[in-house]
Amino acid sequence: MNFTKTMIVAAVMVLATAGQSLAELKVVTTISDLARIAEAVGGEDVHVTALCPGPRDPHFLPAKPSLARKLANADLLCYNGLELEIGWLPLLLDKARNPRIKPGAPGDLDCSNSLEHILDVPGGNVDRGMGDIHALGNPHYTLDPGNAVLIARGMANRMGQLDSKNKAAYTARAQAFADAVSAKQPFWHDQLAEARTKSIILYHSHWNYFTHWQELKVVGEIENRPGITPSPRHVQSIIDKGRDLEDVMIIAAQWDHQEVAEEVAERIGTALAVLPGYSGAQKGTENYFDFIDRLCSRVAEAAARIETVPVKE
Amino acid sequence: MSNNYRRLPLVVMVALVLFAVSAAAQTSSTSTGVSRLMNPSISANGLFLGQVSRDNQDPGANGIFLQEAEIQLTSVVDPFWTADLIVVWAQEEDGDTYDTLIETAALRSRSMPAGWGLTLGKFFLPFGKHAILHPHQFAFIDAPLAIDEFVPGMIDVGVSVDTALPLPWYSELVVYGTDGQASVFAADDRDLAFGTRLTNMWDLSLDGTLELGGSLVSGPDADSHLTGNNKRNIFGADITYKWSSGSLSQGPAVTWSSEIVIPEPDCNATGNPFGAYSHFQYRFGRTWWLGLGGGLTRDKSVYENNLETLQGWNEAKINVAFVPSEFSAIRAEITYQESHDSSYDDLRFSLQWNFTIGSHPAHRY
Repeated sequence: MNFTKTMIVAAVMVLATAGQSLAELKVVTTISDLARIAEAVGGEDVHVTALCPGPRDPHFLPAKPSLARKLANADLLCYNGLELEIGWLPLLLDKARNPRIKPGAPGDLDCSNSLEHILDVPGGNVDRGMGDIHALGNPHYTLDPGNAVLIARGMANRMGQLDSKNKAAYTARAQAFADAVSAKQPFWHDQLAEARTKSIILYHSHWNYFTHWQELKVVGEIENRPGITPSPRHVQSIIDKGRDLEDVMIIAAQWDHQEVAEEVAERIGTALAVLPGYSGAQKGTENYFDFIDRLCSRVAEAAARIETVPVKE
Repeated sequence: MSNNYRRLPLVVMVALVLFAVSAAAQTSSTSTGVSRLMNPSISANGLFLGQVSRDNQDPGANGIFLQEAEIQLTSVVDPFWTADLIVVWAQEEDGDTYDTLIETAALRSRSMPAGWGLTLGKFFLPFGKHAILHPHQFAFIDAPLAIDEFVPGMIDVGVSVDTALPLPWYSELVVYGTDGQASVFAADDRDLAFGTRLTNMWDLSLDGTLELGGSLVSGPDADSHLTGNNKRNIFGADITYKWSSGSLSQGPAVTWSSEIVIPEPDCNATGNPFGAYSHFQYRFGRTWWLGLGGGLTRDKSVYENNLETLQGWNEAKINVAFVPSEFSAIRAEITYQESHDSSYDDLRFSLQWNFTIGSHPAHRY
């Protein structure tokens, strides 16, 4: 009798758990930043999976069919857009065979549509002689927390359309996320007060939203044409430029070619800040706020030690 | 009447203005307006080859050639279909003339019930790993002997359905039926060809995958007038390991791919034909690749005056490729080939360069 009761209770619990998991909105994001924002907005009402792990450069994610399996059951696909995922997302969508998230379907959410301003939209003619240029503008907008707030609101709106009974909860969580960002803004701003007095050389234009948000002064890029290995001549010109400036520092992502960034920093005699490209790219940056904290603290540290780095001839 | 004449210039002017407005409206709504956004993605490839052979004196084996040019158009047709059109101008063996070939003209749908995919039209038959590639995707300049000898020109008109199997790993099944006119069959009769391919893939780590595939195709025998055999079955199996650095953008990467092709022997034939190859590629710099490859074929039946002889070949290759971007590459390659009975061998040096312009779809994994 006890055995029968136990089995019934177990069966009810399994069914209840199954029902709960079925009720969850299955959200797949392309990059880890979007996953963290989706988790903040969706809370316990969603299950979120990111296709591109934090440590990997999303420009070059291999379109592994196993990733298509993640898309096959998704109710909502949140992607960065602005052609960041153009090399792999169309292939995965084709393999996923999921009409709920195909372009134009309710489960298709291009998060760049939530933005108010897109940086680096090229004017005039665009061709591949300029490198692997993003013709629709710089796609690395999640590095500005203000944009993260807009994305959270866009996600809440779409999650509410797909799961109307939890619409109020999604809206409330998006507002809580916005409030948390507002509360942190003064801290982040103050942290980079010294860095704002320095000049900055970027490895790649990945950091333009971050530097724009923090009003940092960018004076050049090591990778003068996106996605193309910089020529020795250009690297030398950047070194010369850095030596001419009084206070200059270098910013690179952890997936950039460190030996080039290190050489430029050593030969100028300045500090190099190696930053996580997206949340989860380095240990301790899995949370979006921790990620932005890390960006600010690393840049602040580098700005503080510019003077102490010797010049290598 | 005179009033009407006086009004005539005014009427003509109004008519001209209306015509101009109408023409402008038509222009903006067809050739330069929304319709331009509806144009397909258009891309082109050019593949050039400079080659010198130690022993082969054929004009096609020595010289500088436009090896192949390709134009590809891809577009969503409507809510139900996507279409691909690929036209190729490929160099003939004489090195001077070009064959125009429609490689692909097909509709694809991923909106079928229960997650099935459907392809209708002319397409590459999904046999193995290499027979489905365009030449600019090859790991080496030429296709492996196993592919060239036993499954060349695997393109046909027909229908294909595919689905992902409900297994804990990625498993895709493709089943197709075609007209039986692929060059490996090329039979002058009304028989059809049928085939299937099963692809399985596992993530060994975040950065590495292992793929195992099996293929079968059955169609009318091209040599049936010699062999009396009406059907030709070809089996294939392949294994591919891929790894690329997850922590470094365009960092080190490895691809190792091997494949075996086993055609059913001709009726009354005496051998056990098969072909195999193994290719290894390593990205050792951001823009540099090294390739090593080897392959063989055995017991291919060749008929002269209705007399059968069995042929076999061995080959080894090494190449270095400079790939400054995904849109261009230059490769230098040395190829050694010998007949299995050691009656003939050859050494070839090749330099190949290619470009891609326009909106070219990303290549499959």
